Amino acid sequence: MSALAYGVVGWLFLIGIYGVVSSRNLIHLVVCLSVAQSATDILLLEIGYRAGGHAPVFVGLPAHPGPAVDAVMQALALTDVVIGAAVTALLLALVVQVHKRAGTLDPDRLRATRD
Amino acid sequence: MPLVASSSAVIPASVVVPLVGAALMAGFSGLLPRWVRDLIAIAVALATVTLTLILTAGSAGRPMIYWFSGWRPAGGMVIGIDYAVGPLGGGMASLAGLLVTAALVYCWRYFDSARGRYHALVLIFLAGSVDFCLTGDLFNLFVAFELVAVTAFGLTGYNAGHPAPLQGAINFAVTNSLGGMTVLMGVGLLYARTGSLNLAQIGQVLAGRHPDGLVVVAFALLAGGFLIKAAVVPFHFWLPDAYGSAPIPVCVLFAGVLSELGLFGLIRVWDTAFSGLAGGPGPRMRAVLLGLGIATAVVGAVMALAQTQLKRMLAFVTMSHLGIYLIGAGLLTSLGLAGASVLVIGDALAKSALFLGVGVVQHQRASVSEPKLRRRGRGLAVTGVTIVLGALVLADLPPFASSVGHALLVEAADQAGLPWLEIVIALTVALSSGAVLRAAGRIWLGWGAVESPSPDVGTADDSGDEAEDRPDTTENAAPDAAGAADGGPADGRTLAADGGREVRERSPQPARVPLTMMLPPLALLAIGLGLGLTPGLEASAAAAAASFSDRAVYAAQVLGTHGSTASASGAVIAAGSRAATLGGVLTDLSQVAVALGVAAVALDRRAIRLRRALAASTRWLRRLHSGLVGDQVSWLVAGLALLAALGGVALR
Repeated sequence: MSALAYGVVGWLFLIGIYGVVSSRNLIHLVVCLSVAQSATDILLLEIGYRAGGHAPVFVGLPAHPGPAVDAVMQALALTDVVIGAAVTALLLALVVQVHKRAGTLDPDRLRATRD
Repeated sequence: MPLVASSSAVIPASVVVPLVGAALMAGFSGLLPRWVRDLIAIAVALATVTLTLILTAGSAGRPMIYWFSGWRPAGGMVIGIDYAVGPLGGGMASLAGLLVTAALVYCWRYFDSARGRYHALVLIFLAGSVDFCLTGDLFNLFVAFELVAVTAFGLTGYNAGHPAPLQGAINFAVTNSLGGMTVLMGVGLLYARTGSLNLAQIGQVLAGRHPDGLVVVAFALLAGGFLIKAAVVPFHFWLPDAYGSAPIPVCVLFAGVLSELGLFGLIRVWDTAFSGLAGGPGPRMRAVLLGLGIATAVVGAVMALAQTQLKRMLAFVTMSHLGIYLIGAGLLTSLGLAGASVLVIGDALAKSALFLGVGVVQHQRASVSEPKLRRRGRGLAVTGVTIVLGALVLADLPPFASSVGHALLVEAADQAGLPWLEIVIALTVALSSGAVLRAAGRIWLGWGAVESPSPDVGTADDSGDEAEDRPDTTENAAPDAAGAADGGPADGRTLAADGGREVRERSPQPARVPLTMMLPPLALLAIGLGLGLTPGLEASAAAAAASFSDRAVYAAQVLGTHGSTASASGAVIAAGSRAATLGGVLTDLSQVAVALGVAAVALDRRAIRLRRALAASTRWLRRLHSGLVGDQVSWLVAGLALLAALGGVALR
């Protein structure tokens, strides 16, 4: 189970980066970046996971609730989700502007900063 | 204890003040007239400078620790989040505040219609920078890292009417977001190994341990993220795209603060968390960091000399100097760190003055292309002097602050038994400053041939690349795409063709340079001069760096276990008195002379063959800077793999 989760992390990160590298469309590129980002969140949740642990909510528990999963890692993952949403929104706004100004979404055709 | 009470309020206030200011700007900008918004934003920035200066002075003796909501460590176990303020972090935060102030004053007349959003973004950028400099918590470090980054992405593409800044912003955002992800993964893995997010406690747990694979990977991920932000080779490709196309006041913030924060984060994490690892990883890590620093300094200097677009040239100059700071910090001695810190401050003032000077040229002449501006500097004499002086200060002209930092750095290299580093630094500094001086000579004096200095500028793959002046690049590069999309925005394009970005950003060519654009660069240079003349700058920098890089003392202060508080600062204070000596002044002056020589050769009509040969031999390097985000991410992944391999060798 654990090995599978770490495998998923590696797979998502690499497939996301592959998508960013090979993308011919900026919207596709931004989505691939979100895919890579989701690997980070899964890694954090996996680090905080405890077999049989309950959710880190400490209100209205039964008498012997057993261990809880690590709330710190969940807080980190939550923060990362928020940052990811902000970055994705900002990037998509920039992409809309690119389409307005340059008339293309293909990064290979948009070469305004080539040296 | 009134002093303690007031200082513990100052620490969080230095982040809260700019954040509240930003919220006011974002929320009420529509209700306030333009000048009120500008005044409030400038006042908030100045207040932040004052607060961080108080912190810098107050923490000179011993670090100031602040626990949020009073959650102090219990029995050596950290349960809260802390700010650990030292003079180095405080100084960096003050620098950020100073440059933000300059950028706000400058934009008073630079943007015709800067709405409240610009002020809000700049103030959030400042709050994030201060947070980054003060925090003692790894996750808080990550949050500040992202806060600074996201506002920077927005500022790069701010008000863009042209594809270049948009592409710069996208490249910047994609690469630095990946950097943020690697930092967060590193944070997570380090937490998995040590059970803490507090830097001091992580350092305590790792101290004396033999690093396993997990620690090595965590280090590589953290260092990779910070090095992406610091634009170190091979993570640097986004920097010229972003810095070379962002609005001028934003460039000032980027060149002076943004990338330096990446280096600051790297050294902070290394010193507090990793430096105590068993097996003496210091010397091998020094080799890794020095190698990266030298590569960055050389690539930046060579690329700067090959540029004819002034902002992009300054972007590469910035990058070259980042390499030099990494050389200084990478010596992993407190003297090296002291030298790098003083250089960061001294150079930031000069680089900002250069960017602001170029902004005046762009404002008045609607171009930043060196060949197009030939002889067109007449009437902008003050700006010409500003730019030449800025370039000379970057070449460590005494008695400016940069020369003090340079002297400390040279001293540190000598003490570390690596005196040849002095030659590397001198050469790269002379090349990058020489590039700026060459441009100044051509623009203000009309020197040099009419043709472009590096012949490959005119070749097929470069012809359309004056990003500022040739906004129709995409049409040349992609005729079919342009044809398909040309119907609607055609009039927008013709507008853009005579400088669309300028038209949108500010009114065309006023008769006189506004004082709010003329004075900030001169004021920044004057501050650099004043700092350089301040007696005891070397000693206090050395003491600050010593307390910054002493892991045991830092941990004892944060965790409240008052063990060994004997600081090593006494030993290094005596060292750095070289700047005042005749030898130090002569070294700096010869460096300035070499920079002038480089500019002279670059402008001399007789040296055309030499220049052609040099341009041909560096063409492959220029080709690598393709501006394609896919290429940049490929380099980034390769760099991460390299870093993991080198980190494995260095740590184990």
